[in-house]
Amino acid sequence: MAKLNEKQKLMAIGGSAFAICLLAGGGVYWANGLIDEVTQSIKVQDEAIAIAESKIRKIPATEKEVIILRENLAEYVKILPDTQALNEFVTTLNQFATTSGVLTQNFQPGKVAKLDTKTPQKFSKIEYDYDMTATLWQFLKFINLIENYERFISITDYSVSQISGREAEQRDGDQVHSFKVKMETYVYNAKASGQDVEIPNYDKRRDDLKEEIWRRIRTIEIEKYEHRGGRGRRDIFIDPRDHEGKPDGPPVEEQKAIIERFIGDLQKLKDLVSKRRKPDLTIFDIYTIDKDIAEGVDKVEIGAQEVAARQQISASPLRLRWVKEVVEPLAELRSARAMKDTRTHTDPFLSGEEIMQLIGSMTKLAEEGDLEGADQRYESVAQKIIVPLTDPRHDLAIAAKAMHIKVKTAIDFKNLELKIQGFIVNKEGGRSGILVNGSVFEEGEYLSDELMLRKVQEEQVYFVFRGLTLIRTL
Amino acid sequence: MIRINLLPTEQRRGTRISPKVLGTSFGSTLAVAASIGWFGLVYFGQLADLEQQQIRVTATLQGKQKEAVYYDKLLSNETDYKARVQTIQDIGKSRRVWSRFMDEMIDVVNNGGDTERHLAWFDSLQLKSDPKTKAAVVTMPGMVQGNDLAKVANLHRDIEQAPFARDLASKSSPGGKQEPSKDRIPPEAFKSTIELRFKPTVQEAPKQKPQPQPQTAAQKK
Repeated sequence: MAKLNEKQKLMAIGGSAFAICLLAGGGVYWANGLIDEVTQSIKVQDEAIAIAESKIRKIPATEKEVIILRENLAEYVKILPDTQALNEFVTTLNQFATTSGVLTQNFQPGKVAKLDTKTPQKFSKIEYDYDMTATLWQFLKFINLIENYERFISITDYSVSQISGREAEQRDGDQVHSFKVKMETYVYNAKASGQDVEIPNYDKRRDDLKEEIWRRIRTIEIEKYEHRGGRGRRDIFIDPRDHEGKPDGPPVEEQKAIIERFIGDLQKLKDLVSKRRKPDLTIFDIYTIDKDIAEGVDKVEIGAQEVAARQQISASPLRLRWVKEVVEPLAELRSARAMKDTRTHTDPFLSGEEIMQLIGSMTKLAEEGDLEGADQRYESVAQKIIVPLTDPRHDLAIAAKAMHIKVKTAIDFKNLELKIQGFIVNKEGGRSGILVNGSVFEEGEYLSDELMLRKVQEEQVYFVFRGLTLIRTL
Repeated sequence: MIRINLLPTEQRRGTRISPKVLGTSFGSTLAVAASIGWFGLVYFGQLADLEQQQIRVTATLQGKQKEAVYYDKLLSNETDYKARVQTIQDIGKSRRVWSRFMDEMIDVVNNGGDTERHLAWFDSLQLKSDPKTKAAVVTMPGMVQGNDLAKVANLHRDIEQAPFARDLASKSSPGGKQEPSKDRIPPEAFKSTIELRFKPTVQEAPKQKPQPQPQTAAQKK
């Protein structure tokens, strides 16, 4: 190899150095490119971390929301039948028809249609056509049962038309009409739902959120309505005018008089009810008033049943008045009584305090000479003091009964025909005597099997009647 | 005189490295060392640090990503449930309770037994609902007893006061044609049809305007 001259050497050294420097520079450039890439990647990952952290921060709140919604949804879908529940739904419809009294003429399910919503695959709509004959009240009861059914059913169309001619019939005294109903329900397809995320400690957290879940469930309550029957109202699909030449029922004035009479009787009962609410009544007054109310309600009820059986209130407007002013107030009185009865049935006997009050009251009346009053007081509660032997009130009840026996004895003694025509008081130790009903009796002698003359004083005579000492003042 | 150069060959003047070459070599060496050093700093310093940082960040992200995916699934569940709940709520709200309407209408027509104000009855009733909006139309052809049009007006007035009237979008006006009966007492009655239009229970979503299509070259011509 030829020797390099100086210039060549310089060129070789400089060139090599330059090449190496260039390579190093290229390497730096390449490394900087890598640095940029890595920096960019780190930046992207930092952003991803920031996003992830932001998501992580939202997890507790979202978990809470998902738990609430999931539980709510589980409740909500109960109002929508699934495919299997549709058979049950048809059976239920039949039960409603039987309960309400409508007669089914035709029942046809329509096509299943997807719902026009954000989640069409999960909900389907099914329509039903239902034709029936029924009275207006039967029909109202039927659709009310449908609308109050636990599953969601919506009545979309219906029509009412009168049946005339030979086919016209009556049920329960009301005209039958023809009804056509179109209703729809929605089926929830749970299979089409996505997979539920598994949330840690789900059961515990669900229990913690119970109140919130319940609060939200209440926001979807389906509107319900309680139909209370005809209540004397007339059928609005019937011409209420009388047929020429054949008026229905007694004259209107007579019908009005019947209603007025019943209103008067009910007013008396209402007065008794008001009187019973007064605070200063004794237990015995209350029992007496209750007895009067019970007897009064029974009497009015029997009368009302007779009026209904004889169809004495036939004028359409008066029928409504009869129901509003007689039947309904009577039912209220009856139910108020029934409620009171259920309360008293829990303990059929007077309390110890009440029995003591009874004894005290009878004693006071007897001392004042009002024996009949004392007897009535006992009789008004007689059934409520037949306390069994095991009851701690038994002794008090026996005392009350003993007091009543005394009162009865005193009344019987008072009613005895004892005409005292004269008396002899022997102050020297001999026996005194009296002249009663024309016969003379000395102390210790029996006037009858139950009555003995015990002692005679100048102003009063002591008798022993059925073991009880009684005084007759002269 | 013979001059004998006793210096080794490489140290003789003719073969000795010239200062230029030496200087150039030194300079080149410095430049090479500097450039390699620079590369080393960049590659093994900055880049290595960043790669370490990237490993840490990737590990952190992987750790958080699992929870983020869990959140995404939760969010997807939430959106899905909300849509389903909304559908059920819409279904629930779309219903009108017709047994209530009928009961209230019967109350209006019966008017508590007061026949002086009006005494009406109907031949039939037809209810039709729009399948989408659930807006309903009730048509009731019927009669109002008497030859006093005021009674027809009274009936309409009472219908307007009824609880269901708040859901009405419109109602037909009072009117009627006298149609005496041959077999009823009293025979006079006005025949008319009452039409009640109920408001929709479902609000239709506003229809989106179609986006204008970009014109093609052929259309432009």
